[in-house]
Amino acid sequence: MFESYLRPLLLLLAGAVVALLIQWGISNRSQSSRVAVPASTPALTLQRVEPVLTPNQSNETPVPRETVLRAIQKAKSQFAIEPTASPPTMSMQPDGLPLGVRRDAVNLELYKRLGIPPPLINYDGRDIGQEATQMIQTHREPMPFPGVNPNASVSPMPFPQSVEEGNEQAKAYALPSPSPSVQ
Amino acid sequence: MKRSATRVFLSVAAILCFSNPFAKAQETPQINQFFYPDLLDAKLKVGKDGNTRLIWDIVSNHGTNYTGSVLWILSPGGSLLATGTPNIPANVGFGKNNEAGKSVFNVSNTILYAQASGNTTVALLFGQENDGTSIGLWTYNSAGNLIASVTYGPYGSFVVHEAYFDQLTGKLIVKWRQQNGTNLFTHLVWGVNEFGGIESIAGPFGPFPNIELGKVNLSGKNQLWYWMFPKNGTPDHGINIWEISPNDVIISMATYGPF
Repeated sequence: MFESYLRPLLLLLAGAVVALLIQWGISNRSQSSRVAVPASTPALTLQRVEPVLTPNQSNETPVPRETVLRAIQKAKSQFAIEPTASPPTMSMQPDGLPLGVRRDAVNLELYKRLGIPPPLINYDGRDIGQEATQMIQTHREPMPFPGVNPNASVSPMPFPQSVEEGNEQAKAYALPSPSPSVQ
Repeated sequence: MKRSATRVFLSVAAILCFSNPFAKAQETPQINQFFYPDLLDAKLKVGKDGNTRLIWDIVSNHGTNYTGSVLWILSPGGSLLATGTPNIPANVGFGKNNEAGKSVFNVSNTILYAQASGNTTVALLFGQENDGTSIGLWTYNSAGNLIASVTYGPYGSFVVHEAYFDQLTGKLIVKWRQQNGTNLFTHLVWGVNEFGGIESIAGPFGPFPNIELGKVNLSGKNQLWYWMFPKNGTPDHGINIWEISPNDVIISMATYGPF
């Protein structure tokens, strides 16, 4: 009598154990698969494409448009040739002077007599750009006209009728010292 | 008979017309020029090497903020061969003012010349006024490198009345003048080579009442001065031409008119 009740009870118990084992096994498997997938992997979702708003259509900053424009400008800057100065690379002539420079570019003796600084000439191939820029940006105080007597009395004179008369008139402006010769 | 009478009548009428003092032409030697004649024209020149020299004026803020100029050298096919280094600074100025103080040239105050040597000379006409107190000159070689620089002035009461490149020689003519009264001026002219070096000095001459100095050209290193007389008071004028050596000696004079 007891045996007739025990058999179905054992079968039920065994079935429950098997069910527990299966449940444990499934839960264990799902846990291990969750660890294997990186948490940062983005979810693959469909996003709605927003239309680009012009400033007139929205007060908000149009971020997508700016990004596109920035990219276009960057691309332009990479390819476009803009009118800016190129880095100096001085070519030299066989005589040792920079390309285009002549040894007799300036009559230094004349400048010595006039009492003014001569032009800045690039005789050695260095970069004179900064020096030249500063030269024309520097404020200069007025000085007497070089080679002209500042104390000459300037009064109207008759128009010369001969070469001699004209040259005589010019002497009124000559400096007391020997006048500068250009030749 | 009737036809020949008509011919005689027309001939007599023509002779009377030409001999009429009221039909006399007014003779004026055209020796004047604009203050800075090259200012609008000399931003682009082709040299003897066939290459083009071109100045870019860099202006921002709707044309109100001039920040300088850049020289470009282009091949005949338009390829960019070189750019000028460094840029021309903004203190050269942008535009000249007319007598009413209104800006009339909306371009940089620069003029250039493509030299036979391959160099490019840029004259810097500082300031907004036509009669500026200073003038500068920069020369770039064919690779765009700056090889010469000079600034002249200010010198007392002398001003740069006109400055332009002699088209034959490429030298810069700098016409200085000093005002000594109403319509009275003392004149002094420099011939400046492509490196900014003074090569010829002529003057001062004057002041001469009622005489006007017009163009000055070069013949070799000699200067040719063209005077017009009288300046005012009559529609008929004569011309007087001086040839002056580089060391300020008048070599010759020639006078024509008034006729």
